[in-house]
Amino acid sequence: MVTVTGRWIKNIQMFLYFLKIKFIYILKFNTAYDVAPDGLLVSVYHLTRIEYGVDQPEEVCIKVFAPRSNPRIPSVFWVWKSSDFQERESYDMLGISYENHPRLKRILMPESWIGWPLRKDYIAPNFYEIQDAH
Amino acid sequence: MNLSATEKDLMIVNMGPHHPSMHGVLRLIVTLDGEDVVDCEPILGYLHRGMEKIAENRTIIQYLPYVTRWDYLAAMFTEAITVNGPEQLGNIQVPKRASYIRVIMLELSRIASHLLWIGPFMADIGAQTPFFYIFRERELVYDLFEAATGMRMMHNYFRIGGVAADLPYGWLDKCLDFCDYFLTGIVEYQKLITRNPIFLERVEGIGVIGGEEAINWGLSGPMLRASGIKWDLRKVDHYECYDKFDWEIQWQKEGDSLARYLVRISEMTESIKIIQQALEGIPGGPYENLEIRCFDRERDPEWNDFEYRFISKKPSPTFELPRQELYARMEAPKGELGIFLIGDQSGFPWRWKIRPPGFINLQILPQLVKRMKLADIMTILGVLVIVWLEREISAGIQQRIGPEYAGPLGILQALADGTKLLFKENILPSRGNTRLFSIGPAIAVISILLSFSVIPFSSRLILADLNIGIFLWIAISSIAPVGLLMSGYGSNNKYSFLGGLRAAAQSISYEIPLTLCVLSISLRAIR
Repeated sequence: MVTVTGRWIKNIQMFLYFLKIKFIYILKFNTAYDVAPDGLLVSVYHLTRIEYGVDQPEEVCIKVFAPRSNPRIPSVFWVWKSSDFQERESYDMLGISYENHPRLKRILMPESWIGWPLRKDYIAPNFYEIQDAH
Repeated sequence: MNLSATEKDLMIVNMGPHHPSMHGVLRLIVTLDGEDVVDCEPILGYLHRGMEKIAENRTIIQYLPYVTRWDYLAAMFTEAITVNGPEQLGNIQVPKRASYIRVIMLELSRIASHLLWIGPFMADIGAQTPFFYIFRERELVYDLFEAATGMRMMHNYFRIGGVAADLPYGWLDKCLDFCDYFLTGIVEYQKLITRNPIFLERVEGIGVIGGEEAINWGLSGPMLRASGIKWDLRKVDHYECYDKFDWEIQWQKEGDSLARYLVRISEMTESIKIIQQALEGIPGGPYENLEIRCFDRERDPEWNDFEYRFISKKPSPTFELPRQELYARMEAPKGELGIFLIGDQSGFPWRWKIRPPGFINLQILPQLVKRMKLADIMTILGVLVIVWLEREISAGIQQRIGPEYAGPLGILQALADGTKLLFKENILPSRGNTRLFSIGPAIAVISILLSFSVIPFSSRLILADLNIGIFLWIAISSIAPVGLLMSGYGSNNKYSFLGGLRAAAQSISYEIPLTLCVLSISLRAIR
């Protein structure tokens, strides 16, 4: 597992491109979560190598930590196109905006929704049942 | 015709969220230039149910019923992945028998899912018949599932450490019978579909994806294997006990829709092979690892005390996810279904991210339809096999044997139906107005037949040119709606009444414009 924080975030694109070209990794999926209700936001990239006849393929998991107040991570759309919808989903659910993504819009929630639903400090509007505080 | 008359305006069409024939809700905004598709933008989110957020507040056992509703065509896979994740997190061993049972259930689910893919896919292309045939086979699979798990579709069968209940006595023999029957069923599909020239026209060469591109877009499952990449997670990951069986990865090289269809058909045959081998070799033993059920009840004795119990919902002691994270995956019929699970040392996961195969496979749609015709969108979309949730599939599709008995090839069926109507027993509603009810149809039929008597025929059955009042004819045939109303009212049944009202309204709605047209012409002719 590789962790990327701070000013190295800008280099993530080049790094992943290098991985793809040299080692033929493919992006299995890309997700995001937040570490704590007021902590950092993490974008996780899970890469696998497609090889034939191997017992267990090599896998790499890369996590990019972004600050909560201004979470901007370069998009890897130009490396692997399969991050198209997935980055949109991370943007929609957690608010991590990906630079240079061709159409970064909300994908699951309606376009006019305010708030980032999957963050731990998200309060669902008009939801008056008892919510257990984390 | 000069070409400058045609404008180069592109037309933007909204293939709205509702679709007939079981496609679920997907909105496509398609930019068309005549029949050619220029661009297509899928808009999702109409069926966002917040499954990931809900998962953060449920224990695994509580979450299992939600999970079957992700992909309801193949519910066992979603359950399997939900249970595999925590098992791998907590290093829980699954007994051999449970593993075999799981494999059998998973492969049956795979067959069911591919069957239900064929139906709507062929229906989109235009062949309506396979849609009914697949339900015949799927009913058999439902029966097997119901005997073992208690539910036809949303099974809730898998548990952490095994399955919920053992297979009933005689289930294995029934399953073997199903396998033998299903092999003949596949032959039938092949005869109907695979060499059908219309089908091949529609499907060959449509939506071609190369191997490199497929990997770049992150496709998985039959989409990937149809483009020449032999990647099947059952062989790669060696999960459950797939290694003990002898089976091959099905793949094709072309990468068009026909290749995907062929991959899925041959996957069904392979699944039957696996099931038969599993049924032969299933061992005895326990079906659930009960170790995980022993809990430490001493935790937090103060907060579980009597005075504090009413404060909030507390789940019963259950399996606790260790503080680790994991990506578990399996080969669902649609592709690679995965779960990224971050455990907190509690019953609830901290993050439960679902990697849905259909969602990822859908990304390639805008690129695939770029130069295709409008009708090919449905072919490509059908082959992507994305599952949204519509209302639950009504399994009450009747198994009616077609009307092929009356005369050769059923040509006398209409005559038989009419004769039956004349001679069948009259049923009168006990509380309705029996007089109205019996006279109503008579009035409708008599007036229509009477109207034929007004048509003047001269010698040799040629229509005579006589000055017959056409309004007389219209007037007589217009008595028919009264008959419809009478029988509808007299039946003492609000649905029949509504039906009669509707039929009468329909008849009248024809007659009013008809009369007005004839009126204007006659007035002109009289003068």
